[in-house]
Amino acid sequence: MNILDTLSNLAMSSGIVAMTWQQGVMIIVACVLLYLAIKKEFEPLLLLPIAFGMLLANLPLSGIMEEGGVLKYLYTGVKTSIFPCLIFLAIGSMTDFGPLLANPASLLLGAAAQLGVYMAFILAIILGFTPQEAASIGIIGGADGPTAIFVTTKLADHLLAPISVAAYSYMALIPLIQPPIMKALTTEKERKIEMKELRTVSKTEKILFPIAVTIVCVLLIPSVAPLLGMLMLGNLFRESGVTGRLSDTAQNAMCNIVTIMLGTCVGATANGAVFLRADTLKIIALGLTAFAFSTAGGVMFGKLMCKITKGKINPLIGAAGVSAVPMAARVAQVEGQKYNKSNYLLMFAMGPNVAGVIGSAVAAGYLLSMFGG
Amino acid sequence: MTLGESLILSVVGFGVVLGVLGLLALFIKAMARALYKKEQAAAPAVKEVVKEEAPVAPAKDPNKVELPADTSMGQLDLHDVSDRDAALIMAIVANKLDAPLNTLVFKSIKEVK
Repeated sequence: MNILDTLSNLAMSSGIVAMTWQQGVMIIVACVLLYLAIKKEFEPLLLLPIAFGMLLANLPLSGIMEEGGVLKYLYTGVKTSIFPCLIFLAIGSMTDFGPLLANPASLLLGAAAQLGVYMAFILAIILGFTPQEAASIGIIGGADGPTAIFVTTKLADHLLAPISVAAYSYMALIPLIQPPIMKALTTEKERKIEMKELRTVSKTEKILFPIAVTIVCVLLIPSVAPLLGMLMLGNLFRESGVTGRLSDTAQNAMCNIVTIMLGTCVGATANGAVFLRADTLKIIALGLTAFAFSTAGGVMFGKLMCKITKGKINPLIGAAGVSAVPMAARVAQVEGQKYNKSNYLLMFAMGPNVAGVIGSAVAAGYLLSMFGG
Repeated sequence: MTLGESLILSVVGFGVVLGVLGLLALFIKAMARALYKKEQAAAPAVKEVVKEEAPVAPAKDPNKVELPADTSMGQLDLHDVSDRDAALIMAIVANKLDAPLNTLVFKSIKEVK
């Protein structure tokens, strides 16, 4: 055997020769996402593992996402919905429902901001997607990554990569997507409205809330149990005052571990041959539409509440109903302060913001009960 | 699925979300009211004890100015501190003191370097 044959064999067995154009494109996409995560800090905790998972899965012959590959094993956690549910447990233990309890009308804003879910669903049906695929695409409008992953793995897991990438990308872009819509739908006078101080919420209310929400929602829509049940369990850890260690683990160590595995596995599903299709572009466009309609739904309902309460509610907080905690609430705060320097809307916007998490879980439960089979 | 079917399904779905969350809102209101009533029922006993121990109301502090709950007071000087950070600091102080913001007066906030 001469040295040239050896080098030739080595070259032929390398990934470079085996690379397809789709894999090449996906490697570039992964690098762009890594740039956005590291340099621009767009949702880096999620975007970075997603991008790296994408990179790993598209390197030829790595076999990382094939039978026996490490990410294929980890993907079981996504496929079985364990990871999204654990993320919800973590979110619950991090969420203070106090602003929502102080102003229960916030729940209606969180519900109204699910408008995009249904608008995107209708548009997806028009574009020729199956009802299961349309429901998975629509849930992007809930602006809740774990919910989108949960619904998609149940209804249309072949669309998991484009849907999760669209969901997380738009969540990172909320500060760019929402303000023009908020401005277009409100008057300057409405944007300047200062809201009355919230009442103090008792500890008993905070403890009873997760228990009551679980009972009411799961009795009405049983399919919401995995997401909402875990969200409320996490919240009970936080509010009960007797499970400090569990709450701490849920919101720190467990959350970080699951985020690493979930992000990397979701990214690894973005296989070039599957991802680079016309459907992906449609999903990305529908995702943006869903976000826009959800924002509009929240703001319009905020305007209605403003009228009913004779100007006591600033409609901008309605936009925070799209979930995406706490980014959407921050956007409401920033937009409010642009027009009234002494206006601090953050706490008022947190109510619809956390209501949006419940709203998107209920919307997901409804879609699953309709198309889950 | 036809467009008509998807429309009906969406309207029902949106209605379900509004209905469930509306129901929760009503529950929260009812719970808050029940707890408030319970507190009120327990309050007279406390008031009586206070009355016995302190029959004379304390003299009003001439320096203390009470404002409506939605109003702040005075001029606040910020030195190398952004509006956002100042708001956060004031909120934390009010929370730690367990006093509403409108009863506190902040004169200046300065960054310690």
